Amino acid sequence: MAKIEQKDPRFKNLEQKVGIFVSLVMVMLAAIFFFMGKERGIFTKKYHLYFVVDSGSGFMEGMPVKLSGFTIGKVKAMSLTSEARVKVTLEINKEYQKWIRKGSVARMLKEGVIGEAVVDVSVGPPSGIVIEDGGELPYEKVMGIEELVAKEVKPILEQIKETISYINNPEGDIKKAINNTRKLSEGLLKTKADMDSVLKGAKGAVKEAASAVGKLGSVGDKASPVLERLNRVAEDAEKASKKIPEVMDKANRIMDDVKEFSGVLSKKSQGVKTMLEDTEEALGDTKEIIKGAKDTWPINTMLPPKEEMKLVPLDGSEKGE
Amino acid sequence: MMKSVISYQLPVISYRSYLLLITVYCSLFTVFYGCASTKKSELPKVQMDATELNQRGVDAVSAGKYDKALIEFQGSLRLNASVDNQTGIAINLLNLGRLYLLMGRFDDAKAAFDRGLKIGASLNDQMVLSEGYASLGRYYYLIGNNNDAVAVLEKAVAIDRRQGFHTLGNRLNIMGMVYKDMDKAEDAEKLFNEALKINKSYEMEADSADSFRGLGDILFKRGDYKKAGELYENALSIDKRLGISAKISIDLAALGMASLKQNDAGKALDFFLRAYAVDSSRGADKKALQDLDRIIEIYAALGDNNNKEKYSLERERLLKKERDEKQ
Repeated sequence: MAKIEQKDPRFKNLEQKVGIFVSLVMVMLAAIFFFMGKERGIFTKKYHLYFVVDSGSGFMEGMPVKLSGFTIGKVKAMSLTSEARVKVTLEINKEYQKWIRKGSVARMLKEGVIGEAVVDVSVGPPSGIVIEDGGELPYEKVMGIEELVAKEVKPILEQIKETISYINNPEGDIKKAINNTRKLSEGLLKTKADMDSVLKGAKGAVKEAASAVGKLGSVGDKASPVLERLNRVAEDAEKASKKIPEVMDKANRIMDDVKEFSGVLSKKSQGVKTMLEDTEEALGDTKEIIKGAKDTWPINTMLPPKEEMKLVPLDGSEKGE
Repeated sequence: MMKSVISYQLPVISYRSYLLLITVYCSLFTVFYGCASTKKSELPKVQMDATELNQRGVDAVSAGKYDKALIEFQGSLRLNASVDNQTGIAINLLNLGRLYLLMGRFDDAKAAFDRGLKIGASLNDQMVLSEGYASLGRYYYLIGNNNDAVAVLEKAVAIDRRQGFHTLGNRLNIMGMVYKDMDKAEDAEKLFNEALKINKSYEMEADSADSFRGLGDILFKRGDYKKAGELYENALSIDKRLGISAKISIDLAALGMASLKQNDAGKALDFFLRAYAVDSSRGADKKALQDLDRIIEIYAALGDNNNKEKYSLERERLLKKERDEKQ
């Protein structure tokens, strides 16, 4: 019986062909793994640095380590120290060691609003000594956007809100001051009318007194300086009475100014209110975008699964603090 | 007849381009598959928001930020109330109650637990009822009403046994603590042993540490300081693995006391110094003051006046801080 390779020439040297094919595939696979490994820096020389932080929250093994925005390594390990602090060990490509010198500082930063958290290492001063393998880096805490908003922006917004409600409060000092000025002005008008009638009466009384003095003769001589004084008082009072409208006019002008100022404030407060509403809306939108991103694949697979409502663990230990 | 020959000529593409194409196709497939398989959230938006706020509250409690936790739980409660999510409301109330216990606001805690239990009873939600009774038990234990504590804890234990809840060990631990407080060491020991067995089988690590510590306390009372120390070590190793600072400090202080009783002042000092470092790092000033008292006592006994003075000054500083905060 003839062998198959004798019947069909394609089967000649079949073993060699298969061998070559398999070898080629193996070589290709090896090449792929080699290139991938090279890409991932498996063959790159590395060294380790560490820093110690109060809390490990936000740090993760595998988190990228960057220098001037360029990935130079990753977080290799995290462990608890005897003081209950967290030691974060970094694995850094050896070729970048020259930049990490005494004076370099590690920080945790977020790349953008929804970007991943990275450990950023600053370039050390040229005069600094290069930190050797196993050396410690100082860690500097940087406030995140949420903390910044909570610590810096929120109190300012709260203060603006408080100021506006203070101005608009009908029981507040500004509104009360306007009302009081109005009342004062009305009071002054009434006082002027009263004074006018008193003066009229006083003038009549002085005239009557003068004629009576004329009739009294010698007694009248003694009384005349008193009458003169009374006359002067009446004249002074008349002058003062003439000045009241002027004073009132000024008071009215002040009141108008206050009203105008209050109006301007009110208008401005509307502007600030709109601005606050816009800011709140923008913050709401940002929150929605972040939430949307969180719910979208593949980001949702990177986040811890959303579970049912959890309970605070019930302490089963002895009465404590 | 002329034979028509159609010749196909494959485009000449380099090996790297093939690799690139395969990579692109694979990536596209992964993305499409991922998008298609993305599970849409089944909960209504408000309920999801409430769950998120509740989770933030739980996280804030574990970080010791009680004021923040209070705001989060109250926010979650409002959201749950707005959609009449009764189970959510009950859980929020239990969380608020547990937070109040940690803050020392016992009356508020009791009111929250009562409301939570009422909802649990109306829903016949066994989980809420068990958690509610256990919380109430902890409340009674903390205010020193041990009889009522045992009564409600027994209810929680009965539910957990019936339903096969994994929280059974936690309830037994609290009950053990109550019995220990009532000087019923043997009953307490039985409960701690059972709790340890259950916690181990359900892999409830934090509760296992509590069981070890409880058993350590029983042996400490009996004067078996060496064995007590070993049990405290077990609790410490678990708490350290879980990173629960408050428990780590309790374990270290307990180990310090056990060492003191074994006349090993050096070892005791080391434990108390570690406990102090933990407490001062997490801002637990009251506990740090207790640690400092022990440290100062040991330094005085060792005749080390320099260190005694150093830690006395630190104690003064903490006391002043406490006074200022009260003002």
